[in-house]
Amino acid sequence: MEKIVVSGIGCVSAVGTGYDELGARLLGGYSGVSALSLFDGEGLECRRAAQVPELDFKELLPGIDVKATDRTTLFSLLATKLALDHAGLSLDEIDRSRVAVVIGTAQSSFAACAKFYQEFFDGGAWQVSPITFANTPINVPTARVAMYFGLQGPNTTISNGQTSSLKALAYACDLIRLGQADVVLAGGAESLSIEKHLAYQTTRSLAGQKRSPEEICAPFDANRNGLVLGEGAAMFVLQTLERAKTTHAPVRVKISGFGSGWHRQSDPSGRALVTAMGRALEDARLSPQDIDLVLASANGSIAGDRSEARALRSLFGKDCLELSVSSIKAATGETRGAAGAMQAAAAAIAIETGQAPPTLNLAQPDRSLPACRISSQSFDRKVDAVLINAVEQLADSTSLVVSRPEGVQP
Amino acid sequence: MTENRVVITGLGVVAANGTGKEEFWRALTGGVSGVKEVTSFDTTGLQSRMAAEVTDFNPEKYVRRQRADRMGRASQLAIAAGRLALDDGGVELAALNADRAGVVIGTTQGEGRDFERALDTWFEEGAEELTPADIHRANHGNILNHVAAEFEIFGPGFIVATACSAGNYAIGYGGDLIRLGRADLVLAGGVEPFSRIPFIGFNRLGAIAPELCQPFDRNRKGAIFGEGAGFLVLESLEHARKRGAKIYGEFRGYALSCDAYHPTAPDPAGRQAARMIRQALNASRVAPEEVDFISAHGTGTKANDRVEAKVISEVFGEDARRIPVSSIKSMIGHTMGAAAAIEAVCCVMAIERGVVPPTINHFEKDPACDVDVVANVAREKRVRVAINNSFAFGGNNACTVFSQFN
Repeated sequence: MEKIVVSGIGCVSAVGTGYDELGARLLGGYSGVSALSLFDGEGLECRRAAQVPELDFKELLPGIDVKATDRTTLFSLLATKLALDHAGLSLDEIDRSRVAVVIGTAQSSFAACAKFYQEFFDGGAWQVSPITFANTPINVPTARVAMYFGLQGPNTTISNGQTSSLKALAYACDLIRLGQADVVLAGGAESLSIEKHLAYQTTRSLAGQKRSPEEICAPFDANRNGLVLGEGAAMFVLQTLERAKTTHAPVRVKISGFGSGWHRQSDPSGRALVTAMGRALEDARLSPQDIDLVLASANGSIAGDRSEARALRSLFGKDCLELSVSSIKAATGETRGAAGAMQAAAAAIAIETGQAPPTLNLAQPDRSLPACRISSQSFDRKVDAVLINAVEQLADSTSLVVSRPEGVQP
Repeated sequence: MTENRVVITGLGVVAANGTGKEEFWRALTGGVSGVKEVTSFDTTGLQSRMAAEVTDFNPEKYVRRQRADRMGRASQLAIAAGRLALDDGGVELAALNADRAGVVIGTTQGEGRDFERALDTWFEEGAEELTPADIHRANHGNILNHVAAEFEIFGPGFIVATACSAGNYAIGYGGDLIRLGRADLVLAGGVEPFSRIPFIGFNRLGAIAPELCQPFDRNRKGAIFGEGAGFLVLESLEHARKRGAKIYGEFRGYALSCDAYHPTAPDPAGRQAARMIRQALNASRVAPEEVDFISAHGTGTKANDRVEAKVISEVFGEDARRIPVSSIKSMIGHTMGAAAAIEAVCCVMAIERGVVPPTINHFEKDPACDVDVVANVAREKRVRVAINNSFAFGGNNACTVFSQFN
């Protein structure tokens, strides 16, 4: 299969905006979690989230009517712009009908749907705003990115819960392989809203709702008690290695493999993820020993993290001290449809800096974890290949392998 | 990458004018409309009270391995059309290599109805009345999960949410998964339940017709919305032959493009749409003159039909006047995420049966639409190649190409 490489990475998150800021802060142990300020937390449980700080979108995205634009769309636009800058890609010098956009998002602009419905509920059918309505379809962020940058190639939105952005990246690679695009801007985006908070609160998944009242997100910790929601976007400029070389574009990391696996009623938990990881490794023509770092899907959920820990033990063995494991979600929050893409950005950071990101708030690793290297602080280690997991509980799991491109030394 | 040919071996559809391909086809060719007064909510004060709802749907008939009441309506409709397609294709699920069977589903809003129900509960009774089951039903990601669990299909699974073109995107990528060697069989299609938000939104935009959906008609007043689901069983030729499957036709190829023009209106010049159709034909190795039927996106809005006709004229030149064009949205409404998939089922049947379904409610063709509209009555015609257009909000364009299997 054709080698697909990443030439640029752009991100918007509670931890940082832009690849460099994200890298420095993530490795520095910064947490993006704070008290809820985006919406009124009155009466809510777990009044904490990893919120993207106020950004001057008007300045950062000239020409965009910020007030009329949905939040997930704003993140998508900015992350794409940053990715293009990071890749040094000038859209004036490229055939834009050969540039595709693929975004993975779980909820997309559903906040607009709720807002629209509220307008209808309060004032009837003629009080609803056409602008709000235009923001309601799930494909809005992807379509607006195309509009803003004039990109006329394939434009696809993948919306599959937790697995959305890894699937979006896999789909993007296929577009290139099948000759449907020369360059793909791909990644994931998600924004916080009170509706999403309520949905998680109703299923009692948030930190502090079960086991103990502390609202601390501690992935893989023995005393973890739930997740904290986050938001943001991470976008990548993808093309073949050959094209990157010909156009003198940076070659930062390579997307080496992808795999997915389904949960089956009869199987024990974690099996879907073992299958996904195995397939991703097979696709990458790597074995488990070749993996230096796992960026886990773990987000502090009591059952979910245990399931993943078991899956890691199953694949890597119970003793794998050479293996580093990390979850960035204590810092970035659980960004759902954007999570896989955020983890992919963190993978590139790890490869380029030779440091494994910390798993914040980790005091005592869960017993289900294999013996591996996991820490609440970042640590040095050479990273050539990273395995990224995104798990939708009781459904399908996805894994992506991101590696150092050949001939590019740390 | 091997050149795997992709064939269609099963068809499943749930639409306002028919459930199952035979009933659906009889209704289509008989010009039978499924449009009637909306029953699922109060339309007082709105410009239109008409829609193509599926009012006789019994989910328990199709949902067997799971509890139908634990999933949203989109999941139920998708399972129904999926089961109909798999049964139609004689697919023995137990004999399938589940890891090499995939599911790709298109939708615009997913579990729209159940999402709105959750909002109703929240607004009227308070958030504390919401249950985990309400949240589960409202979450469209679960559509894929329920379909996969129902049929125990454990290969690649995707939900493509590209608005009114989603069905074509799903079929396109489903075919790609087979061509790339990642699956032998893919259940590919689209689903959309009827819900308030699009209905009210389009009312507000003045884009809904009060009585009739009249694609390409001079006096057309807008779209009429519907619900439903459509699925194709796509299979590699090798796998289909091995199990002795009946082959309806071949899925030759497709193309995608983006207008990158406006959030809701199509580019009046139709540039990206025209380019995309040409690309679809090229990818399918089909010359324009080989096309015998164009299943139009044909929503019945002033803008879409005008631009679409222009695009057809541009791409097909002289042939544009002799290739029959029809929009079955005139009978089943605009089924959004299901539309392109249901219309793909129609294309495949047109090829199999040698009949092109009509565009009903056609009284006077818009002179600006210089295409051969199959007006009101079905037309017998040998169909070697059919193309299926879709042009969605956000400029998400897609066209799939189907042919007789040779």
